[in-house]
Amino acid sequence: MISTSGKRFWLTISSLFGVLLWKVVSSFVAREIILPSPEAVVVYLIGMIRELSTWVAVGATLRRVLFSFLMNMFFALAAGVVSGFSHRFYYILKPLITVMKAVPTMGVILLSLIWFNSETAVVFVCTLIVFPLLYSSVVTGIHSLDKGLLEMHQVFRIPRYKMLTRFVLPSLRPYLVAGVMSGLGLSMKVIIAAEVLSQPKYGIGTMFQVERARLNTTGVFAWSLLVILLTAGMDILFAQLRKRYGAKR
Amino acid sequence: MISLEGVGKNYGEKILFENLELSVPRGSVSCILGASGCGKTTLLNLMAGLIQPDSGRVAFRGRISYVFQEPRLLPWASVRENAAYAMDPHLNKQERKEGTDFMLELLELEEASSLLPGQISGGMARRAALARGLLAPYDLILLDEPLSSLDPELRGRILNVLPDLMKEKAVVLVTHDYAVAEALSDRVYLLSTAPDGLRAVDKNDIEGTLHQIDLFNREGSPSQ
Repeated sequence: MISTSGKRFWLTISSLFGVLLWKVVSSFVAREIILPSPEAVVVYLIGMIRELSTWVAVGATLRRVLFSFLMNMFFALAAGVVSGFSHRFYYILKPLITVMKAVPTMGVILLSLIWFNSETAVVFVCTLIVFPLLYSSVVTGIHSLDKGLLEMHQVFRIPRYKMLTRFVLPSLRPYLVAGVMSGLGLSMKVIIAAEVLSQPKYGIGTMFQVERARLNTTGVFAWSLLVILLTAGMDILFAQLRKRYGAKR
Repeated sequence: MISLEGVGKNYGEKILFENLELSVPRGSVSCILGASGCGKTTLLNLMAGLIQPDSGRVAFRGRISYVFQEPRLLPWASVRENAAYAMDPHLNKQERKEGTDFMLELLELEEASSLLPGQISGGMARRAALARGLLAPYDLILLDEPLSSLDPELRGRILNVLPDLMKEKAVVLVTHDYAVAEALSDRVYLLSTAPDGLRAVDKNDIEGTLHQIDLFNREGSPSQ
């Protein structure tokens, strides 16, 4: 085990080392358009967060992330619970899930741009990538339900709704927490990637494309840094929520 | 009532039961004795419908309650919630509360009623499971070592009230405990693996039969 202060120490050391390495390499390269220096990126970021348009783009992307994620979570939970209990349904869905898992992201993005408008395309792509992940996690959770407790429900003929809310969902909690942790971060990445290509009116991905078109590498770096901070912020927020509401039933 | 009609059960190559016959009428307690590994729990699971016989049939219509060998409590629900878990959903709130209060008091669980299964002793968990089994609506109740690991005084008190609680019901009891078998049983059977199966034992012979089983277990029979 490592103490909290020890943890902080090594985290700081490792982060400082990363920034230092970045600084050294950027001094060597010495061309802002290839690799901007850390301080230039930070200065640009500070300028950026004073602009309303930045927050409009961030808001639009977060709205898409949240919407796609919640939708995927809902359907993954519903489909996962049904296939967890029914072999038939599991095998009916299996080919679809396999295709979703294997399909190349870029190909899908390009196809969905042909098929849908940019708003729908982004959510569609995110679903293709995130849904199988959440779904598999729910199915694994159902398959690891306590066998003794399952038999208990069967013998006493506990009504399905009660079994779902009092036994199945609480048992799935660790799997759902893991799903939220990994799924939310992944949704963010995929949505931004899809935005870069589909160019909705507002969005972080759209801004990436704008900065790239202006050959503003510092801007691309600053946007990346902002995304990292946003994702870290979401993780911290979720950890806090868990601490507050998670320990209880 | 429940009846087993020519029930057979195999595990792979091994024949566990062959042609078992048993009927347990309403209002009677049948006690199953047997060496470890002879399939007592399997027999209860067959009656509960948790496993299917390979031949013959289990004839039963009605509601079943089962006190499993392990407590099988929901870890995130309190003792009280666990005890009331299988109660008839048609009961109103007041009836549920009164029934649960009565049972928790009887099994000396009032003080533990708001604790979680992880916070109570094994004996308390067993009693919570017994409370759940007795509070569930049932025509047939299966009891797998229901009073093991309880202190003798408390066990005695529970034994005094159990017959009243299970009046008019069909009861199948598996136990190693002489006091429990003696106090509750109307009929006693000795279960052995195939080809012997179930054999009726005279009620006066319970002690002798248990003694034989102990000798059998000690002499290195296949145990569980």
